[in-house]
Amino acid sequence: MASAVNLLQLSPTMTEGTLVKWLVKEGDAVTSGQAIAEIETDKAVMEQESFEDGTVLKILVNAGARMPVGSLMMVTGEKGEDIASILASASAPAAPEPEPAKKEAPAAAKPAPAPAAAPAAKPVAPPPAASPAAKAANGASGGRVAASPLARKMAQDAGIELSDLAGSGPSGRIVKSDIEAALAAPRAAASSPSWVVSGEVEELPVSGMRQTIARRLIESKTTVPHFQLTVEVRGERLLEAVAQIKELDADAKVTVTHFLIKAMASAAMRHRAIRSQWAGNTMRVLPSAHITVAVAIEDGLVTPVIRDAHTKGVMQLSAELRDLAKRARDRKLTMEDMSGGVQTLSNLGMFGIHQFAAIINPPESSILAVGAMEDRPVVEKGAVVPGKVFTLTMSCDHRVIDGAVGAQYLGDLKRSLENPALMML
Amino acid sequence: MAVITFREALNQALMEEMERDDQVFLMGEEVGQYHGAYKVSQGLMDKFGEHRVIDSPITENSFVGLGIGAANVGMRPVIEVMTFNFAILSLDQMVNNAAKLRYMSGGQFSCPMVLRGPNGAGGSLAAQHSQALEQQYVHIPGLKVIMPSTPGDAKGLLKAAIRDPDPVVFMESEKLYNYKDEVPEDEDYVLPIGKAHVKHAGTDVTIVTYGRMWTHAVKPALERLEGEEGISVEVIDPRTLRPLDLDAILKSVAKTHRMVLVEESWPQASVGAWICEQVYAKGFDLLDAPIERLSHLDVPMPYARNLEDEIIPSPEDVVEAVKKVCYKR
Repeated sequence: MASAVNLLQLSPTMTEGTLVKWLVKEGDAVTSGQAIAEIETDKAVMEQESFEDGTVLKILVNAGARMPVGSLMMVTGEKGEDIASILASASAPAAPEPEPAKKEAPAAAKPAPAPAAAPAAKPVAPPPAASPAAKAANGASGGRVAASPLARKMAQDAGIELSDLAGSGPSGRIVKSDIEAALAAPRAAASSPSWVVSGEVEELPVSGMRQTIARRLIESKTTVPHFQLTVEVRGERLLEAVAQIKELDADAKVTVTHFLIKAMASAAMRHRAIRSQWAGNTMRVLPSAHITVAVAIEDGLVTPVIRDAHTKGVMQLSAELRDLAKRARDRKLTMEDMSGGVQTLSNLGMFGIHQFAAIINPPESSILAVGAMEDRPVVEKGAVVPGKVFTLTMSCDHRVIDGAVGAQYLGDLKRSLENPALMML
Repeated sequence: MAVITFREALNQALMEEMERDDQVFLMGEEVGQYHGAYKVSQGLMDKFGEHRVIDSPITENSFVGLGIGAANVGMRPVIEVMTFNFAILSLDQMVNNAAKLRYMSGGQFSCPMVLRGPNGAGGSLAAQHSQALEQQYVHIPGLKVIMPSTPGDAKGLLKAAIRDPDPVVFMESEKLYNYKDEVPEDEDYVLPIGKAHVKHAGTDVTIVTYGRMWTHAVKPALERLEGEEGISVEVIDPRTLRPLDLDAILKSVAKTHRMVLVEESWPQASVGAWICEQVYAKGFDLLDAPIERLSHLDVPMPYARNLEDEIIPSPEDVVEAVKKVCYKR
């Protein structure tokens, strides 16, 4: 039996993926569990494995192609099997580079008298204007865009390319309301700016990761009721603790960040609201304090999670964070590495940022934004003296954390950070 | 306007036409002394006598043929069948004689007769007596087919059918005979054959329906559709199934871009199938969604009342179909 190999959902938020590289080619034998392709998800580059033993009969997508989850990528089966029905029934994803027409179905094995099913299966190049995202969303099947007759007529009359639109009807069918929306929307491409541009405006492709950042942060900022609490923290003792460790071990790669993770996790264990998440009709309380750390990488940001941070020493936290950051840069983080956190730490202190308010990373209910350790005048016993101070700003989901509850947690956290010895308790 | 039953409206039409034209006569099983199986011919024999209101034996093929012969020689017979289930026996007369004589005689003969009676389900009458058979006649060139949905339409169209120079099949419903509605009190209320009627004006979706389905399924769904769902519905009743007023349907679809067809009778090769095909063919660019078609389920009618209700399109089915073509789910 020939079987279809479709793009798998390789992360919980993945809706589409980019084929980075095929690890097999047509005619290769594959076994169940064998890696067949590298896929860039919204989070990382991951390998998709074969579920079947057999031979690669047909590869339908080229490297670089972006496609929705579930798209047909490849067909496996017995050598010489007829795969026309699989090809015909699948919606062929858009190929970014039009293939020369030569690359037909391997009909050689079967001396078919007429070129019967092959044409339907041929991946047809998209029209030049088609954006891959629209292509994926308008039910395009083998180059044919699904649209109601009325929508087709309206588009023709208005001079709109159907392939530029995403359809809202069943199976992505473009319907009247989609055309009306397109007519109402400002025609970006058609309108030329009235001011004089020197040089050329660049239009860059948007990566999967950038799209995920956009989608998730819009979702968070528009659906989670944020409020911020800010507190100033004295950092002398924290700096002293870091210095002490380095005094004993010059190679120790411990920073204030690792103490912050430890202190956040320990305080989160004492304040169950911080470990709580809004789950529609219920409130979900997580049993352990996994801390998410925002890590900037080229062209974006990923959020690996340190498990049970309250149980770990700062040296271990440092080692784990370095490992996660390296894998983040290499795009090797797994789904597991990036889920299950209770609270995110976002530290821009190293860039000299005084203070900022971060956007919550759902389903977590808070995020801590850390500013730079600064020399600031502080009042001690009625006198102004120089002090080491940094500012913490916690953004809270008000559905879960009320002002007073958040303030208690932040007070507790401040106390730990100003007295690192408390972290030993 | 007078509010009378469908039955009374038909009775008035027969009464008025028999008074107006002495060539009009009524024949069928139990139409005279018993005043009709469904009392449509109440009082007619008393008024017009045994020569114009004739009780026939139980021989559909014979008395339908007799009516055709009488029409060929210039009379205006109205032949009542107790139900259209029994008219299957006389289908040869209708198809091969009534429908063909004008054509085959090169216009020397005409056949100005009306074949009328109830069609469709009547409530626990079981498989042989619950069939909606309009497609048998709509299929045949040379016949006209009328299927009224209200007392007013019934009266105006039966009078038109009796006056028409060609054979007209006039299909009523047992379930409609007691249905009361307004009927104009014009002295001579005649409606044109082949003209659809806008039963309800609206802008978002066109429902095409005829016969009993208007009051049984479509009308009860309107309040929910227009109230709860906020969908403005236009209801087109073709009233005459052959010749079909396709222009009226296309005009409405040109406005709404969506259509639901609701009919009694089975789905395969039905009148509704033909109407939908015509809209697809002639109004292709008008449509924003595939047409939804509601009909009897494709099975013989069971005797059990609850199963009969399942077979026939319901107001809930209409609501779902309308939401579907409006992409509201």
